[in-house]
Amino acid sequence: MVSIKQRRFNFFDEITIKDPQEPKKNFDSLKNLNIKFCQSGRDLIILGTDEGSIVTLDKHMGLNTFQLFDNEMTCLSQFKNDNIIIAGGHDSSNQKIPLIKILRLDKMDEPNFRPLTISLNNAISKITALAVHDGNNSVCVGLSSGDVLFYKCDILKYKNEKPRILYTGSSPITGISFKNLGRGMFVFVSTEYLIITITFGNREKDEKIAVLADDGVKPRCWCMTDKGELVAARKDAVYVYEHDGVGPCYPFEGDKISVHWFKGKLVIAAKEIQNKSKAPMPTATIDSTTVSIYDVENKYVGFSRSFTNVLNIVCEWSSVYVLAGKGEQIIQLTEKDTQSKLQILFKKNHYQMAIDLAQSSQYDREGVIDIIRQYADHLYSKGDFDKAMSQYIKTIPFLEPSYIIRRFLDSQRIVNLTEYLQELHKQKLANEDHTTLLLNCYTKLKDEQRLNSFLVEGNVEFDVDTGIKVLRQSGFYKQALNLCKKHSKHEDYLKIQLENLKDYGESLNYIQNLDDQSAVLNLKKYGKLLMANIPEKTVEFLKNIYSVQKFVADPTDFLHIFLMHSELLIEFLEFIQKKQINSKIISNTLLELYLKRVAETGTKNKKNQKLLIEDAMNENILSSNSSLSIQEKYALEFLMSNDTSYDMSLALTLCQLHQFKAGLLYLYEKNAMYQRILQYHMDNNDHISILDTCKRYGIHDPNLWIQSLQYFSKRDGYNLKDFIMQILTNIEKFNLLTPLMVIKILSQNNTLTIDTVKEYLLNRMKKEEHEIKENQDTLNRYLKSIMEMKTHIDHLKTEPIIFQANKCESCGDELNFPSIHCLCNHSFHAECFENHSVDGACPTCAVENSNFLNHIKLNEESKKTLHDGFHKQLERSIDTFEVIADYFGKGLFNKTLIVPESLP
Amino acid sequence: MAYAYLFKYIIIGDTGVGKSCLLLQFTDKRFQPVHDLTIGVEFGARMITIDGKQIKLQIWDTAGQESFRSITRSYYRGAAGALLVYDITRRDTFNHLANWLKDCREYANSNMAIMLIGNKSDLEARREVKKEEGEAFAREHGLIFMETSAKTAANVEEAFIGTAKEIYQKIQDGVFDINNEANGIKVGPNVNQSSSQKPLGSTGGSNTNASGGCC
Repeated sequence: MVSIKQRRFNFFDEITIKDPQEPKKNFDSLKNLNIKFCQSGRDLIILGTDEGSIVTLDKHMGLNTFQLFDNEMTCLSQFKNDNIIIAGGHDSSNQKIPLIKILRLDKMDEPNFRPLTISLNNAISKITALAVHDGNNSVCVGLSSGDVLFYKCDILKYKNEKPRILYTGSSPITGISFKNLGRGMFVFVSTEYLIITITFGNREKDEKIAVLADDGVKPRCWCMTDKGELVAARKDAVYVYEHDGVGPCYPFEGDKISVHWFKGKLVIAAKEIQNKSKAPMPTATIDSTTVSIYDVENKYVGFSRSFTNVLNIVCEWSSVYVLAGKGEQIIQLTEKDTQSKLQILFKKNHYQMAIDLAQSSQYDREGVIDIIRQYADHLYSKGDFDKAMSQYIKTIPFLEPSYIIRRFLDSQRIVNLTEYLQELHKQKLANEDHTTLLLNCYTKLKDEQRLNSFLVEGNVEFDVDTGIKVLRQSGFYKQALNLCKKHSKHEDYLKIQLENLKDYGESLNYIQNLDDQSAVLNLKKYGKLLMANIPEKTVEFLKNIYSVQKFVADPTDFLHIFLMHSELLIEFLEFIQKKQINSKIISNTLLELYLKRVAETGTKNKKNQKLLIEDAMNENILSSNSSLSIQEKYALEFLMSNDTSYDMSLALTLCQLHQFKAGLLYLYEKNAMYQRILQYHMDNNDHISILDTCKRYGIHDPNLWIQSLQYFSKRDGYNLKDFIMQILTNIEKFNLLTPLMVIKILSQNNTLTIDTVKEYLLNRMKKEEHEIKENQDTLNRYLKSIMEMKTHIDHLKTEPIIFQANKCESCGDELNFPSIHCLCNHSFHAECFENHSVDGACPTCAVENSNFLNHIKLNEESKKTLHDGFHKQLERSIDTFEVIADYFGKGLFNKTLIVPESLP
Repeated sequence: MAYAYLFKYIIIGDTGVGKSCLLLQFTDKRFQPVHDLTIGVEFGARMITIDGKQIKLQIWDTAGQESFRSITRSYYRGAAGALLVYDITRRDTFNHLANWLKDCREYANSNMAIMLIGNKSDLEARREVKKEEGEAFAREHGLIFMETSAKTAANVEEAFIGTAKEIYQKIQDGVFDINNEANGIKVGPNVNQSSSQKPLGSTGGSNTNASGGCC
């Protein structure tokens, strides 16, 4: 009878109740009672028999009987809040008058107890339904005539109040039930053909009667749910009605006997529909009834079994009791505990159900998770990975992620893995590895959209470095870049931009937007790459940096990035220099660059070179530089400018290296390295230049002349006469060489004629002749004066001296006595003499004599240091012979001293 | 929650076209890829707003299987609107529409607003029924047509609300008798609230007496 579509389980244990007195025998005390009604509550099962007696059963099957009606009982109901039953029936005294009897069950045993009886005098029909409102002050009575009577009073204190007719129908009332709705109250009234609701108003006329369904329900085939819905069991299905209309329905086929509400489940007893086409049932007497228990919430049949001769079903003590076998058997159906239910579900792989069940039976979270995991494992083993993953996701955060991840690492299951990892991140439970994995998944799947949304979503936390790394590896540069940007990973950003995307312009823009510190740092690192690709812009940017701030960084740090871009480097360095940032390295570099450039272009036009050199010699480099290439001009200008601070020796090396002659010469000149200049020209065999050099610098270094002479002497086959003659003139002028040496030097040349030196030699000889003559004259003069002195001495020694002077040498007056005459023919007044004479010497000659004496004395004193003085003088002097002669005259080389004779 | 009107809907169509999923998407905003077969009739409700009025939609989700047809039929009568659903990836579900429509005409209120829905529009690759065919069928029978996807929620909201608008318009036009609840339309409790409040206090008995008058 149960629809085949519903899932079925056996969640109920079946126990046949034994007789408490005789444990081996079934409890069969009810077998002879014609039980018609069943109620339960307050630890009792209340049974009503057709004959009008009430039978109660306690938990231990203790039986208690009370004869309520002595003829017939037609309906039995119960107070909700009290241990009181209310029943309708007839007493044999007057079978026409229906009676309502109210019985307090706890007073049933009292000997003189009488139930409260209300007789419905004017009714002829039977009472078929009874309902008592929770508040005990409203009672509805349904009659077989179709009328519904309404007592609006406390029925327990009944004082002959008259009921009023609430509703008049045409068929017997099969059920009545009160329900509170908000602040109002209404009743469900059902007949076999109709279900209506009667809503009470504050006045009689406000009452509203509405048809709920145009199909009715048989007696006992209805019940109320916990929520106050009416359950109506019909032949095809079980319908649930709410106060305002029909609700869901559960298809159960079969002739329903009764329906009960048992803890969220429907207990349905139904007779199986006999298939009429089949042969008549062999055992027609056997009345087979199926009892099903349907879980409304979880939608499964928890129990289903056929019993014979089912009288009724009652729910009490958390069990369902089936009164079967015409009362010979009571079968207790007890729901299994959740664990056993789950076991059953697991066995049948009904995991989803197990989860629902666990949740609805208040399982703790971890318990539920464990079921979910089992379910997921099951799905996984079946190969249904999508579903398995959707279950695994539910286990977050209880289940260890690695357990799941390991199962889904296969590349075919990457979609599922992605899902899981995404969820992990959403719940902020992911670690670094998870992030890596997730990003890898995205990239493998090429799921750019989700990747983007993952990265953009701010609330997802993950390790940024890992993220960038993974994205980059897998070629999702755009995303990686955004990530870098977002987290200020400048270096990574540039790395990707430059190395992977090769978008140099963008990189440069990015650097430009950075703060100075990081911009400089990154530029140092990546400048070379940028330079290689977008040189102009890079330089522009570099310049910008320095034009705004002077000391952002040492410009030399950027030099390396200009590799292979010397033009730009020049541009940059010139710019820097203009900015007055002077540094030796910059100058040197710049110079080097200039020279290199010169060397590159210079090789093409060697002719110009020569002119250039000449110009350089004329110091007209800048004005007449028509022959200079621009590069050379630049270089030279640079060398000559005052505010550059290049290293001199380095500059020299560089000029030499690059054979930048103009520069080299300039530098030589600047450093007074005339020899080098000369040597340079000699190396180039540039005769005119050699001569010019000698002319220009001969004053500073006369040796140049000698060198050039030597040079020319070695040159054979040239017409060098003019040069040599000019040199000789100068040699002569500076008296640099003796003619002998000149001859010796020139004799090395094979082609030179005597004609060349003729004039020189003639000049020299004339000059020497002239000198000799002069010396002869001097000699003669000296000899003459010596002779004179000798005769004078003789004269003094041998002849008397006549003093004939009549004037005083000192005052010029006439001499008169006393007078003093000196041997030197000077006469004085004695007075004058005394006044002027020192140490009795002639005052006129005293100065001369004392000078002479002093000189001698000095000579004697300086005898020891004379040697040094002589050498010094010798070195310093141009005409060394004169010095030697002079010293010779002073008696330096004499062995004995000539002591002059002192005057008397 | 108070509502101005309550509309009752019924969702019909062949088994497996996604009726329950449409309802789940509309009421719970989620999609369940695996859904048990609907057995009997299930039930859902949601509040919407039309024209500034709160309207409660009470939706019966019926079983599509033939064996439940008789049960389903009993639900036609109390419905103001119907969503007639077919599956665009299964032509037979489209072919059966006429049968469903026949049932509608036979058992339901003649004014019932019917919306034709081609579900599973996300499965474009497996489409068997062209959108034009659905439109043509709707035109022919005077239905509103829409293609939806319960999976992606595309047009789901529109389908339910569109039907509600249609019903609402019919009420405004006086087509529906709103006092006859058999039409599947109920006027909200707030309309005659003042009259229904008082009797409770006087008939509510000792338990409710104390609270009866205080508001």
